[in-house]
Amino acid sequence: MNNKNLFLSCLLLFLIVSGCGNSNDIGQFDSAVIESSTNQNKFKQITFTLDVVNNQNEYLNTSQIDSVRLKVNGKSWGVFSSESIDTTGNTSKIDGDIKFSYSKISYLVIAPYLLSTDELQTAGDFVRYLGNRIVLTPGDYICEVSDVKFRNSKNEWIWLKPHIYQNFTVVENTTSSYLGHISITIK
Amino acid sequence: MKKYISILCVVVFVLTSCEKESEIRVQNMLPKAIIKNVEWGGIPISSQILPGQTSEAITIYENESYYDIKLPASKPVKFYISLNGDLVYVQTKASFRLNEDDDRTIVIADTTQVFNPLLEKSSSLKNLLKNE
Repeated sequence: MNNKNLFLSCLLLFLIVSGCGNSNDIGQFDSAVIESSTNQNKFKQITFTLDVVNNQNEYLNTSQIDSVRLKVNGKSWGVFSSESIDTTGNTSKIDGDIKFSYSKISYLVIAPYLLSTDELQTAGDFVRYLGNRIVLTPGDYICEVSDVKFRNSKNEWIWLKPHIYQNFTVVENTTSSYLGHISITIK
Repeated sequence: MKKYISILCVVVFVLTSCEKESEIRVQNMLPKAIIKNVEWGGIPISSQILPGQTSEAITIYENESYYDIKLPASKPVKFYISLNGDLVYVQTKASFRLNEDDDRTIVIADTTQVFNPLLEKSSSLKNLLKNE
C-alpha cells in the first residue's frame, strides 16, 4: 500500500470512527423514513440539567456524565452523555475515588429521540421499526432517568440506578421540551 | 372466397392464441402494515395492498412492448411500507423469476429480506471498514 492510499484509508477510518461516537448505530434509520403529513412536527427532543450529590449534599465533580439512560412512557428514549464542562479546580474532597465539590455543579443533557435497533434485514424489521418510533402528541408525559454512569478518579465506572421520574408537557407545534432540573443522590 | 376468409380467421385466431402470457400478483402478509406502489421489473403491480390482501393479477404477454420486459426475467419487488402514515421505501434482496406462461404470486411476509439503498450504502461502508 502506498503512502497516499494509507493516508486516505486512515482519513476514512477516522471519519467513520468519529462519526460512530457512542451512538451504537441508534437512530440512523430515520433518514429513510418519510413521516406522515398529518404529524410532521413530531416532538423530537427533551433537555434538562442534572446534578449528582452525596449524602452530605456535596456535588459530583467530573467533566461529563458519560451515560444517562432515559425512558418516556415506558419506552426507551435513548442513552445520552451530558455536555462536557471544565470543572478543573472545583474539587473540594475525594470520597471513595469520587471527586466532590461544595459548589453546585450541574450537567446539561440534550436528548434527541434515538430508537435503538440493529440492522434492518427483513420487511418485518422495518414494520417494527416504524411501529416502535415514539410519537408524542400534545399532552403530559413522564420521563424516567433509569440509569446514570460516570467514571471516578481511577477511571472506573460508577453506575447509579436512580429511577427518577420527571413530568413534562408536549405543547402543540413544538418539537422539544425542557424538563427542568433533576437531582440524583449517591446512596 | 368465404372459405379463404374462414381459414384466414382461424389462422389469425390460432396465432394470437399461441402468444404466451404470464400472470404475476403480490400478496401482503405483513401484519398491520400497508404496502404501496408495488412494482416488479418496472411493472406496476398495485398502488396499495392491505394486510392479508392479494393484488389483482397483472398479465404480461410474451412480446410485451409496453413494459419493456422480456420473459423469462428475474427482478426484485420494490414497494413502500406504510405504518401510521409513515413511509419507508424498500426493495427485496431476492429477485423473483417469472417464466413464459407462468402464474406467480409473490408473498411479502415478515421474514422477506429487504433493504433500503440509502441505509445499505452507509452500513456496507461500515462493514467494509470493520473487515479491513
